[in-house]
Amino acid sequence: MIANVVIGGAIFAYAGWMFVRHVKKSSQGTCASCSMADGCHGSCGTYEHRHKG
Amino acid sequence: MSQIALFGNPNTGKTSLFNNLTGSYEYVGNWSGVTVEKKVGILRHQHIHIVDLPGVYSLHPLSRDEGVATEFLLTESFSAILNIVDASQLKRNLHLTVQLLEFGKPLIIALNMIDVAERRGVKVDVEKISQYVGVPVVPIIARTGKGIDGLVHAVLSTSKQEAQRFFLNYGIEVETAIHRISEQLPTELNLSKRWLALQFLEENQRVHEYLQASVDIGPLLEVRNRVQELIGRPLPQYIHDVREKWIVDVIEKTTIIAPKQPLTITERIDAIVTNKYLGIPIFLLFMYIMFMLTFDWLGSPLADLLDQFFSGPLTDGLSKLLSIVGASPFIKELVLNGIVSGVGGVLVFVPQIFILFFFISFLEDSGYMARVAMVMDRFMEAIGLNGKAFIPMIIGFGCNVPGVMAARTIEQPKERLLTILLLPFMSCSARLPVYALFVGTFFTKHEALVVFLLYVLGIVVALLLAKLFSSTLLKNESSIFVVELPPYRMPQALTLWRSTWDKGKGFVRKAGTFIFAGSVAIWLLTYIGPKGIGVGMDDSFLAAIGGVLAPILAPLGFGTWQAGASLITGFLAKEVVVSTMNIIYHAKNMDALQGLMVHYFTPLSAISFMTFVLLYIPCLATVATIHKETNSRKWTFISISCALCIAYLVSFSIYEGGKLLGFS
Repeated sequence: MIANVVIGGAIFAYAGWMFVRHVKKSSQGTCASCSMADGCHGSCGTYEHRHKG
Repeated sequence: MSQIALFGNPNTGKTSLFNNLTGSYEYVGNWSGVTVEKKVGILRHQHIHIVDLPGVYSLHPLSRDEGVATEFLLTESFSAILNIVDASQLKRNLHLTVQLLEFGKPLIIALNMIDVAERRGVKVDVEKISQYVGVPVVPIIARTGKGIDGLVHAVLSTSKQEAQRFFLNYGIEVETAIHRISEQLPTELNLSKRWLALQFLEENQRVHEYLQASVDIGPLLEVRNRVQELIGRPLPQYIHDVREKWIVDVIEKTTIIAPKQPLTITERIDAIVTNKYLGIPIFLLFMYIMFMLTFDWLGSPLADLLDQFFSGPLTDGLSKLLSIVGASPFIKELVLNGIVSGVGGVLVFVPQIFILFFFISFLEDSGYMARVAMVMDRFMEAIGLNGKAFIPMIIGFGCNVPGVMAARTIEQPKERLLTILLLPFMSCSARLPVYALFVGTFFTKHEALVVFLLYVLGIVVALLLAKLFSSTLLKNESSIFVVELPPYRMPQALTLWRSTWDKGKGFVRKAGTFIFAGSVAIWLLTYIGPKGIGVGMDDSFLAAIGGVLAPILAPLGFGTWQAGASLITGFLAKEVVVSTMNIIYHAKNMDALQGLMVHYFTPLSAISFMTFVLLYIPCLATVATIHKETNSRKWTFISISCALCIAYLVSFSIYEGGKLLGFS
């Protein structure tokens, strides 16, 4: 029973978090939603830098 | 303040030299009687004016621009002539030089583009040419400013000296004529009589008018006609030929022409791949080969191996592990039928995605993609865009979001907007698993061909829409596309891998994050329904949601709730279409799913479905990016609705048209 609660809870919590995060990021558009933002040598490099720094 | 006149042929770098010598224009004015602008500047740190005259090939005026040069020589006071000469085009340029030398003022030759000449195998011996012509010759590269200091020094010292006498013998008949004309010219004319006589004999109209104003032109015309009779051919041509002979002699004695260099590999490849007629077919051929490698030759066998691992050892291992920890059937179902099916169903296509990205990176790094943009420019100009718009489109093949953002590089606002609107029709990598699933089921012998045609369809639809928009809503001014063509090179393995990984890692990461989440949500929607928990698939919430779309999709050949549900979930991320199908059809592995799909789709409806997925709607991230980049709800809405309408229309035409033609 405990195993079910732990596994189920972990899966649903992770899935819920990822779902919300994806929709939020996607809705922001541009660099936030871009799958290539990390390796982008264009404006997203600045974006990453700005947001990390 | 003394004045230096800058003369030269058109396109010899005269303006670059002028700007280098002066820093900027001092003033711009009109010449009396002509509308051509003259530019006057001050030589850096010196009290000397530099007058930039229009580029001319000869002093014999054919146009008003050319008349300005003669006008200047006849009427203006100046201390020296600076003659810019293109070292790579000596034969043509020196004709003007000879005429300027005959004018008899101190002259300095600025030998420009020595770098270009050397690249073409022409090496000019500057000292020799200076000795031969009898004036200072300074090698320069006006574009970069190299040699300008030496030139300024030469200008300053030469303008203070007397001109060296230049004499080119035109033969006894013409020399006699020159002598007779010179004798009749008044002494108060402060110009070289020999030059005036020669220009008159050459039929320089402006000189003719000038002489007419001060002497009786009749006897001069008599001399001219007589010498022409003696020579037996037009005088201008004869004089030109004598000069040409002298120029050829000068070039022979002062330049070394290297044996013609064989074409470089880049030039040889470009002659073929950027050919007017072959360029686009070659690009399409490369695309086709790329898909053959992605699917038939490399990708599919690797995907099969991965699929075997997911459905075999992984599923079995997880199943055993869940049994050991005492997981309930609910959890087992969730993990095995939800997560493993959903995430695994997408992950099996990782080899194809990476192979495709590898070849796109290869084409980019090798320098070929820049050529594609150039080749497409001719084509795209006809539809109201230019080659620059093709670069975001190529980026869009990876992911539409950076493609939309790359449209920022397009300066023309309307062209930029148009490119953004068309970008979602470029088939991004997220749509690839959908095609891979369907072609693997229905077109096993023509996988690459079908996917290739879908990509081409996306481009064609985009281009047709561009034509429509650019001639209606978004009429714009044409802009020029300039692209630097780097030399071809073999991409380095490490760079290539990094480039491929940069493009592909998002796909893998998404599988572990959103596709995981989406799979859990979809499985849950299939597990619960209006009637309770653990209901049959057809009674689930997902069936109810997908069922709303089913009748609308029926004319397209896939009017099932399953298709409707997959397309809805696909809006969040296109890969999820495949996850949804895996979960809905309860497939243990790809083979099982493909076996099941035969009951719901026919080859024709499969093509219709893939076309719909290609065109139907940009994903959420792309929609948001379009909104950010256009800063307009109206255009975002137009982008979505236009995509939906086009997708419906094209899929309908394919399905119904195919049926009429007897396909099923």
